[in-house]
Amino acid sequence: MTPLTSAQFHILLTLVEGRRHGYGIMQEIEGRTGGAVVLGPGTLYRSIKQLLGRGLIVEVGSGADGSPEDGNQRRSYAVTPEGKACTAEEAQRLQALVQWAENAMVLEGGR
Amino acid sequence: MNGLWGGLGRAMLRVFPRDFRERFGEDIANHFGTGSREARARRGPLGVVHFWIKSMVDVVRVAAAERREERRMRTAKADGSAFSDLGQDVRYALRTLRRTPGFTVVALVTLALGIGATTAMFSVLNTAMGRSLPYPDPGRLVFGRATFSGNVNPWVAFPDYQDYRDQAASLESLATIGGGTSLVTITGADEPEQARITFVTGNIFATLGVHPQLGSTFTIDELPAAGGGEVVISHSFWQSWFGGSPEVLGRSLIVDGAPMTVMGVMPAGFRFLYDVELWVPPWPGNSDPVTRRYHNWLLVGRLGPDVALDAARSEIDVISTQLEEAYPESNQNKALQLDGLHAGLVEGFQQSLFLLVGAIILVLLIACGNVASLLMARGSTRTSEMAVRSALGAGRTRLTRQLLVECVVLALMAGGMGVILAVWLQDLILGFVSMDSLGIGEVGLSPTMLGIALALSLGTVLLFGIFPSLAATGTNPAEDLKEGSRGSTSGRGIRYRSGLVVFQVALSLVLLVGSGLLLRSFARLRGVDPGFQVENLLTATVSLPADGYSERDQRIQFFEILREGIQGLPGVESVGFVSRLPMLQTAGNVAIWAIDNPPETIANAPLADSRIVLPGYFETMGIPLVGGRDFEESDVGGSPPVIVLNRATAQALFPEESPLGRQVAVDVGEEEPALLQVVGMVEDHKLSSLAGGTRTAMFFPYAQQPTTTLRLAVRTIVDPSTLVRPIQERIWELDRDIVLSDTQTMADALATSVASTRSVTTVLGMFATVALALAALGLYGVLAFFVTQRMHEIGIRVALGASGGNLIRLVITRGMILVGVGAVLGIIGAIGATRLVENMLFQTSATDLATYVGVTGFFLVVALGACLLPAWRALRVDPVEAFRAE
Repeated sequence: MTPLTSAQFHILLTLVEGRRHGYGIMQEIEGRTGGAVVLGPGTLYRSIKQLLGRGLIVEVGSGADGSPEDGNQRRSYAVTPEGKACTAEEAQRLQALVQWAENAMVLEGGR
Repeated sequence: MNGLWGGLGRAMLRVFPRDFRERFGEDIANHFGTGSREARARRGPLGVVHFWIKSMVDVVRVAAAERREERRMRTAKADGSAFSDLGQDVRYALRTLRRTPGFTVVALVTLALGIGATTAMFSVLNTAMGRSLPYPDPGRLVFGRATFSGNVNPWVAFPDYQDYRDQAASLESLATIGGGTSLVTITGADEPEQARITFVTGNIFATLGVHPQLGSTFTIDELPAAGGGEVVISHSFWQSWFGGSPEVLGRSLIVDGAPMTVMGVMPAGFRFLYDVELWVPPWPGNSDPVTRRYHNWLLVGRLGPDVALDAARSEIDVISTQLEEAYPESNQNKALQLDGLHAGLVEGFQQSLFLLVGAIILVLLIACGNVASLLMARGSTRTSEMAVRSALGAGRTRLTRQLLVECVVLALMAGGMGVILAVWLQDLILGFVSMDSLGIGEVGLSPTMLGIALALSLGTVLLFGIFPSLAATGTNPAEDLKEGSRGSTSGRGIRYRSGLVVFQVALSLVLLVGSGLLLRSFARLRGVDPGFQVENLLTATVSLPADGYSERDQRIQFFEILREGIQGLPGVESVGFVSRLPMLQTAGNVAIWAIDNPPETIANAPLADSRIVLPGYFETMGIPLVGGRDFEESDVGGSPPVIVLNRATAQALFPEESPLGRQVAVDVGEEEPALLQVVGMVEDHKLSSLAGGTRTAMFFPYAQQPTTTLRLAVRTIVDPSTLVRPIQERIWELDRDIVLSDTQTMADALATSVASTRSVTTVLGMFATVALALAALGLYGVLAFFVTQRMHEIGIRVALGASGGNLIRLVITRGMILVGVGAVLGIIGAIGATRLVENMLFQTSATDLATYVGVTGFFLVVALGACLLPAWRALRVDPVEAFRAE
């Protein structure tokens, strides 16, 4: 399986917690990373397109989570079971990397 | 409300590929709107600028990546889409063809005829050249013919055959078969029946590799001292005479009065050279003497395993040289030519077939020219359609492809119809060019033939499709849209079509000249005076059975009585009997010389065609006696031997002197020549073919050489065919077991003798007529189109007072220039091409001026006719109408 890009992983993480529309995804990522990660509109929608293409997320009706932004019809996205599994797998891979970093005492040095 | 920013964002979307834009455009625009408002709310106008710069950079980067990806996807999918385009083209082509039924039917029929005829011709040729003979391992079979000083004779002498057979180690076996067939009467049942018989050596079946279905072959000596005694019968004769009885072997068959034992039955369908029912061993006295000077046999042999034909030829040549040394009297300059059996058999009609194939290809080319011309005419009416499609974004390749697909569809449909036609045409061709000797009765449908048809169909597409397609699409859309209303095209179309007409005129003229030459040659052949009167002459064969007619006197008496009997029949003018009729049966050439001028060896003596006649024969035939007397009742066995010579023989033997009363010697195949006195001289007449030159001939009185078979010639004053029955009844009054056979009129016989020449002439004439018609049609089409196209100009001319004569001259000049150029090219082509028929021509040169002039003149008349109709239309152009059409 093609590895997830960083943007895709962020989007998936966001959607695992609940469905959101495009702009909402961006906001959530920005908030959760303290503004460190801000997805531009091109990157955001290209990643969404790719995730849709791989069947990791699906499009759902607008505002189904009860949070319509400003009455506009917006498409929301939700993660599929495959998407969830893929997110978990990627998280595990990253966790292993973090573990490695810990063992290498990279994190201690930084403390 | 996303307002200004949303609008700007939407403008940004242009950079994305269309798919992406359609899918996410709205979201991205919203994104820009929402993002801008939030940025301003948080950080003021600078925040907005910051947001926009960051977003723009991102959008451009992503858009570039998306476009790259899309391009990759498109090329990967390209193959699939080409196929769907092709399907679209095919559907479109079918629709277009349906929309113009007139064009489609004419094009289809023209092409189907062309493809069908060519396929049939090729298929026949292919079968003739490629079909292996219906014998096992046919590649090893060889055909042996004698040559004299290098010229094929083709008959071989029996003793020579025996020497070749015994000495040639390279041949596994060598057999011989008689030079012809004869009819015999089978008696023993209620009604006598006739059967066709030929002489063979018993090893012929094994040599060919076909063994009797029942029994075996002859057991007696290959050259029995007396009449046969053993016979191998055909499957059909076994069925008809013996009812297919399995107990046929050993049964007796009375053949011409002689009992013969059935030794074997050949499998159904077996034939070699002739369609015969009976095969019997040769025996001396059946007709010609068995000596090295009588050539009456054809050889068929089988090469030893792994022996090359050339090796066998070398060995045969060595044997020929040895025979020449051993028997200089008979074998000087004599050799044996060995060929593959198939090649030897095909030789006879190979030239005719190649000629016809060449001709039909020309016809096909001309037909293709017409269809191309039609396509161009149609293309010009479709210029607007093409221009519209081109303006809508169809590339030139796309348009060309679509037109080619139309042509392919047309050609394949025509090819399919052509195959059906071809199956039928093949039989027709076989009717004209018989190939029975190859065992080819019918050709049928074969994969080869389908392949040929497909190849031809596609080949014709290239011929008629490419140029019109290029011409039709090579136009300027803007110009054509503008001119479209007038339905005209650039000068290119008419130039192509004019070129096509020139080419058609040239090709059809080649065909016309070729068939004209053959026709003229044929007319000359038919016009040849055979030297005897052909009309009202009935011919037939009377064969005496061996028992009851073994004595000379019995035979002489029988024919004397029969002659008187027939003479007495109402409607009979006179009756003649001869051993071999001129034109119908060939006779052996025998050495003859004047006694006071003997040759050094017999091989150097002059040869003369030898026939035996009853008194009254010359008179009946209408062969003038130029000196001396005819044979008389007094020329009998005991009286001095006499002979009648034709003028050519007399002049050869006694130049500048009268032959009458002189003594001549004739080689009769024995130690000593026979000595005879010349009592008469007759005018020269044709002996074996109309095309042959004057030949030396001599005639013996029947009473001094009474053979068992004579041919009857009856001069009648009524329709000859009405006398067949009365003559047969006269014979039956003498003997119930004798059948009158081979009855035909001399006129029919002569027609048959030139039948193969006539077949080729007829078929080629048909092709030439079709070619002429097609070329005239093509010419008419182009001129009609020319007139339509110039309607406007003609209208102006009429308005300005041009006379009818002027208009007609305009059109005819145009047409005649095309015809003139084509004719010049055609004549040049014909001079080259007619070399191929040169050796088929009789007293006619391949560059016969009269034929060239006549054919060209005829062509010009037809072409003028084709010009007149469009010219007449030009005359009727009403200037007002012509302008209104603008």
